[in-house]
Amino acid sequence: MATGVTATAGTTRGRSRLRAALRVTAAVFGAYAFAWGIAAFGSALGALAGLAPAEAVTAASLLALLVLPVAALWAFAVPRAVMGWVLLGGGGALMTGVACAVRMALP
Amino acid sequence: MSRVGGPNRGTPRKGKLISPALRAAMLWPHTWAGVTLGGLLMLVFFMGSLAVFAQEIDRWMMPATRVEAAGVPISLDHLSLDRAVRPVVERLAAGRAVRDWYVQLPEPRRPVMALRVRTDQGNAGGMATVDGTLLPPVGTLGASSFFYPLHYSLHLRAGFVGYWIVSFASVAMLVGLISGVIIHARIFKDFFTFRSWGQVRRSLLDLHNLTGVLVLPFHLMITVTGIVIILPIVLPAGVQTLYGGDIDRFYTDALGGYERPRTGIPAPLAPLDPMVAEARRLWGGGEPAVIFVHNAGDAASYVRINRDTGDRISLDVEPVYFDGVTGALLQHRRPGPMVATHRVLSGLHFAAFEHWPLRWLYFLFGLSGCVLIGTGMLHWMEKRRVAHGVRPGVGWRTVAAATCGTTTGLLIATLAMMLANRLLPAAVPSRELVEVAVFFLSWIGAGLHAGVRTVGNPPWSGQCTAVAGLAAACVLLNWITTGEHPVRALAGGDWAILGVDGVLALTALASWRVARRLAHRPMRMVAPTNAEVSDHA
Repeated sequence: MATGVTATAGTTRGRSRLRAALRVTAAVFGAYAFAWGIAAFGSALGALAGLAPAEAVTAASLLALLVLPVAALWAFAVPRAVMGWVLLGGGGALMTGVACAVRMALP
Repeated sequence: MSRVGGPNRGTPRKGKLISPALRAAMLWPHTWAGVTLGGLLMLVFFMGSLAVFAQEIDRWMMPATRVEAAGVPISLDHLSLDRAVRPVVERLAAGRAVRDWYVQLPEPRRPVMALRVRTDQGNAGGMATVDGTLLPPVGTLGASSFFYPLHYSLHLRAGFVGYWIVSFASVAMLVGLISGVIIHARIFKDFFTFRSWGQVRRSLLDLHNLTGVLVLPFHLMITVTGIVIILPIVLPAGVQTLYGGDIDRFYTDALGGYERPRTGIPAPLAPLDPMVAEARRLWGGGEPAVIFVHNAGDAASYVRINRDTGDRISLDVEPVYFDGVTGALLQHRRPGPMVATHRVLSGLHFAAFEHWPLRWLYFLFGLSGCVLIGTGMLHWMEKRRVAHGVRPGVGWRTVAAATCGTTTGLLIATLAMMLANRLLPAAVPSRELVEVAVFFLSWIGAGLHAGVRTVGNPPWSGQCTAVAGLAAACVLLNWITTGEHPVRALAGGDWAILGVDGVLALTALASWRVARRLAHRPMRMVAPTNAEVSDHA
């Protein structure tokens, strides 16, 4: 909100804007990447556990949808803005990577 | 903006689930998700609320389909597909070779059948009565083909762009709902507080909290299930992993679909009525809703019969497939438990079930979502006005004008389209598109009016007067052009027309009162105090 802006100097303002941009992009793209990772990883895991493909995809996607808004809000609550990106984006990429590996292993 | 760094400044207390620092951190996304996407969410919630009564609004906008059959139980005992429907298909095809066609069977809320025929030289569609009489073209998209698709796709079909935008806004809505709950840790105390005689800003916040808390379960449910319906499209990670990104193959697999290509060898279509009887036996009761004939006239033709879901929450239509030439059963596959869950969640959103009190609740709760979003934006405006003084800047004016354009402006556009529906002669070429043009032009007009006239306040009073006038004109013109006034509709038991006219009349009355009150309200010229500026949370 506007209340704190008046008290801060120009450079702090720029840095705060950068932090805000980091948080917003982490909330939008990082959280989506994280949800993507859950849905991909969950689908692969489900197929590995013997679920029908459509069942695995649906279950994992529903779970990912529940996590998505919470992950987006967490990007605003985490003390350091960069951590939001690292954990959401990195976690999403890691899970997607594992899912790809599992898919290769699947018949 | 600096609130983003909030958690650093607060001192989080151990052992408390919602710390003051977390509450402070949640305020920023809550505010800006609302200010930036509130207008779009207003459109989605408003059109979604109208979609609950899409059939009733259709009857209002398509007078030719107000057949007396309403109220009479329609069952297939009276309707033979082979005797009543297939001749209509032939008439629609008008000598061209039919490739595929489908018919939506009559039901109490739509007492006519709707057909769509794809021929080798273009498509044709139309509506016909139960006895097989083809009705003249309705000349309108109505609520089911305009307001309803606007709700979920914004009519941006290419590349599912509309789905993506609406889903993004829906996630923002979820973010707003969850952060709203966290911000208001004293939620149940606030819930019983409504100070309508206090300051405007205070009562706006109270109304925001009241709708936010009271209808929270519905808002959470409707937003989540709305995304759930199109989840495989907007989050195709699983489809990418297990289906190589082929969304059609996923849907065919998940929903028990079936398809096969044409062979090019002509063959006649087997009687359809025995197939329907067999489908009903497989369902263990239940009514058929839609019958598709694919590859018509070909040796590889097949028939799909969907079950009506009016007697259940789940949107599982239990498709049954028959060979079009032999009439033999090809496929009837039930979904697994997870897909069935997905169907129930989708059904919770669609509210296709036959239950009038719940339909009204969906409608009213959907509108309460508009109240929640609108009061949130108004609260932001009032709070910012206090911070800025009485001459607000360009940013404030933009948000104020957008708020006005997406609330009263949206109502004006909707009502103008309904008015055009009653005013345009049937002979106007591309009549349905002219109606759509009226919708968008009046919306743009209302938006421009809001943009130009927003100085200290958006032109609420003027736009409310326009809403009142348009709504009243709709009721009057329905009477003049169709001869059906509310009293006659009541006597004839035509609840669809009575309902639409009644809501229109209520809208006119309420908008008129609001316009009068706003016109007599003195302009607020209160000097801001520090206490007021920081008064939230």
